Formats: sequence, C-alpha cells, structure tokens
Amino acid sequence: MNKLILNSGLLVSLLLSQNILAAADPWAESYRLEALAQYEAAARSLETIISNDVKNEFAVLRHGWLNYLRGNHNQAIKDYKKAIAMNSKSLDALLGIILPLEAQQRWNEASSYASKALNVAPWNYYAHIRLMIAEEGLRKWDTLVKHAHSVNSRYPSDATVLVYLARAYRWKDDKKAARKAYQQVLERVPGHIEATQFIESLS
Amino acid sequence: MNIKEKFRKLLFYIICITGLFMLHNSSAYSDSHEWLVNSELFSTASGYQSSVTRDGFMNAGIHVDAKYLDSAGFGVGYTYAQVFGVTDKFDITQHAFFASGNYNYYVDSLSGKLGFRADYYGIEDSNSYTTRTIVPGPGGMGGSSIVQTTFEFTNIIDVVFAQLSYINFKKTFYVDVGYAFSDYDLGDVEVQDIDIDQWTPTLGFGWNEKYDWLQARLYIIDLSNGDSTGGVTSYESVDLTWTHWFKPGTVLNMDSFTAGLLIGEREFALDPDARIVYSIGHTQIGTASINAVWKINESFRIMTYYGYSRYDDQENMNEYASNDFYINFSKDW
Repeated sequence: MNKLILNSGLLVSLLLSQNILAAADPWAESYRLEALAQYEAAARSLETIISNDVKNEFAVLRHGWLNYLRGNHNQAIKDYKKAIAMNSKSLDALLGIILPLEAQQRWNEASSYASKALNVAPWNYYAHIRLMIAEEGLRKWDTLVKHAHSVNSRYPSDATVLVYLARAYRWKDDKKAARKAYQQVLERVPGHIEATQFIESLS
Repeated sequence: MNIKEKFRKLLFYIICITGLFMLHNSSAYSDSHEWLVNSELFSTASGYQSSVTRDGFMNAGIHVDAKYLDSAGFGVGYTYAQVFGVTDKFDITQHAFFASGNYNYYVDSLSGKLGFRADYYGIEDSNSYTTRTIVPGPGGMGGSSIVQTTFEFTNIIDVVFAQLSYINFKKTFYVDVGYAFSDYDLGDVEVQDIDIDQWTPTLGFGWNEKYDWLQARLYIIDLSNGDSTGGVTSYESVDLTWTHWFKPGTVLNMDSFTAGLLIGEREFALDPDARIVYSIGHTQIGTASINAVWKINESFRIMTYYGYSRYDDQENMNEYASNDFYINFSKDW
C-alpha cells in the first residue's frame, strides 16, 4: 500500500515537473503545444525567445513553420524571409517559404524560391517537387514534362514525380504518355486513386 | 505650350522610354525569375454600315507590362487610331498612351487576393475635314477654281482610373469596383468641356474546374453636361462575358473562347480590361462579340476577335452598325 502511494506520488511529481519544465522552457512548451495542434499558442511561446535574441535563426524558422501550420501564411512568409536574410543558404528557410506561398497560390514567387534552393542544392528532392507544384499552378505543361523527366531519372523509384509527369501529359492531351506514367505510378503505389481512375477512364 | 501640355509630353516620352527599356532588357528581367515581361502588339479594323459620317476605323498599338513575382506590376502602352470620315465629314487621328500600376495583397482571413490598381490615360484626338468648293471664274467666262477649306480642332483627354479587386484562391469568385474620372478638354468652341465619372462594379464566377468563367461588369457613366451628346448626361450598360477554356487538341486547338454581350448604352467609356478609352465613338447601344485565343507555346499567344456593334449618332440622328476585327499577339519574355 505504501509502495503504491509512493509510486503515485512519484508519478504526480514527474508530471508536475514536466509541466513546470515546459512552462520554464519555451522550446519544450512550443513542442508540447504543437503536438496538441495548438499552433498559435506554440508560436506565441517562442516569441519571448525571439524578442530576447532577434538573431536566433532556429526560433525564427520554427515561428514561421508554426504560423504556416495555423494558416497565418503572411506571417509565415515574413518569418521565413527573416530567416533567409539571416542565412541565405538555409535550405530549411528556402524550402519553408514555398509552403505558405503555394498555399496562397503565389506560383511565381514559389518558383523563384525553389530556384534559389536548387542553386544551393541542385538535386534537392523537395525543391524539385515544390517547383513542379508551382509549374502545375502556372500551367507550364511543357516545362513540367521536361522537369519531371529530369527528376525521374534521378529519383526513379519515386511515385510523386511520375504523378506530375502524368498530369502534364494529361493537360497536353497525350493520353498514351499519361497512361504510361500512371502505370508506373501503380507499380510503385498499387491502388493509387488518381492513377487508377485515369486508367479506368480510358477503358 | 502650357504646363499641362508639357507634362503630358514629358509623361509620353517617359512611357515610351520605359516600354523600350523593358523590351530591350526583357531577358535580364526574366533570368532573375522575379520579373515577367509581357508585350502585346494589336490592331483593329472596323467597317461602318449606314453611317452618315464615318467610313471606317483602324488602330494599332503596343502594350508592355512587367510583373514582379505575384506582388506588383506596371505597364505602359501606346495606341494610334484613325477614323476615316465620309466626304466632307471629320477624319479623326488619335494618339493614346497610358501608364498603369498594380499591387496585390494576400489575405489569409479572406482566403484570397486583394488587388489595387491605378492607371493614367492621356489622349489627343485631332479632328479635321477639308471642303472643296468650285468657284466660277469672273464674268461667266470659265476658268473656275477650287477653293479648299480645312477645319481642325483637337480634343485633349485625361483619364485617371482606380480599382479595388478581390479574387479567392480557388479562382471561382471575383469582385471589383472601378472608378474613372475623365476630363475632356474639347477643341470645338461651340460645346462646353466635359467631366465624366464612371463606376464599373464587376462580378465574376468560375466553375467546371475553372474551365468556365462568367463575368458581368456594369458601366455607370455620368457627364457634367450634355452639350455634345444631345442633352444626354448619363449612360448605363452591362457587359457580359462567358469564357470557356479547352483541353488541348479539342476545338481547333483553341486555348479559350469568349462570347460577349453589351446591353444598354455606353459612351466615353474606359474599358479596364482592354485599357482603352472610347473617346471617339458615338453612343454604343449594343455589342455582340466572340473571341478565341490560341496558345502557340508557353510564352506566345494569338487572340482574334470579331464584334458587331450598333451606335447612335445623336447629333446627326443616325443609327449605324460596325463590324470590328481585332488581332493581338502576346509574348512573355
């Protein structure tokens, strides 16, 4: 009985200490609140860090990420721009800013940042995928076909690149090439909904 | 030359130089991935039916626009136009230029984009006609001579335009409100100068996965006096357009097709989409039009347009029709 009381007491104090720790450590607090999908509060908990240390690159990046998650895209873009100004070679920031820009359908700006990321890391997968999303938004089908082929040759096992390739061929009304690309998607992701629907629509 | 004329000439030269600079350096802009330069060359040819004053119309012009990413842009343009009058009626020569700027603000709470736009248009319409009178020689002895008399006057027109617009991110809903103030400094001393207020509220809807777009724009035009319009001081009309985009390789390889209808009356209008001021027309009392766009590649487009319009020339109690053919070549650099 005494052991049970002792264990319960230890558990309660552990939980309390975690909360006290979280309250004392804004980083821990921001992770805890993010896990609870309380993005606004998570971002707010970082603001004391940023106000005390304006050059804390990671805090600024994380603030941008949390603002993106809560749908505050304008603030997220500002945060990421601030992070890029601190470190122009930061792939985290260059790739991060594309997310809120694409959420606002600012395809030209997204393309511009994806190109900057590719200048730093020419075959970065995420930069290529996000650039392809922008090319789709801009309806640049010829560019997207060339781009997707080129990325496919570097990442031959990837299904997402093949989905963009297939979509570009669909828009160009090249059903044969679209079918071939979608079949390759199904080899990598059996039952892929978009690919299945397209191939069924042809038969 | 007064200060106003000097200012207009200076602005005209600035616009020309800016346009040439943008075109000349277009590759420098495009290579940065931050500027997109577009140029359009266009021309219209019109023939009039049953007009007692006009035989035909033509124009040709260039628009150059530079867009900075998705945030802002500016454009300049020049159009030369000519109205061919019937014998003993006015020919009109027009020089029109404009400068336009816009800024976009993205609003998360509205899930869309707010657009702010401001334009300035400067126009010179030179009206002239020449009469030839046969004067008999003295004493009925023959040797008659032809006396030529030329009448000329120039209208100077300044228009400022502002527009606030909203489009949602899904591109299924659009609304704008535009206001234009036009100052017509008329060279014909028999009529008073005119100031014009124009409001153009607009609604647009997209559907069918953005393959279709319907737009309605009201034109509410108020004149400060009706001296040159037979006493009429206000015009109302609605301009309806439906655009359908095609999948590649479907109908004649068209990229899009638009059908338009103008119902009501319109004169002295500024068309904010075409960026043209209709300063030399009579009262437009209806138009039916179609246009088609062909996308030759990702950066080059050709648009052709045909419109049938009816006009009311109140001064001469003459209702007439016009057939308009238009072609536009558009290139992204």
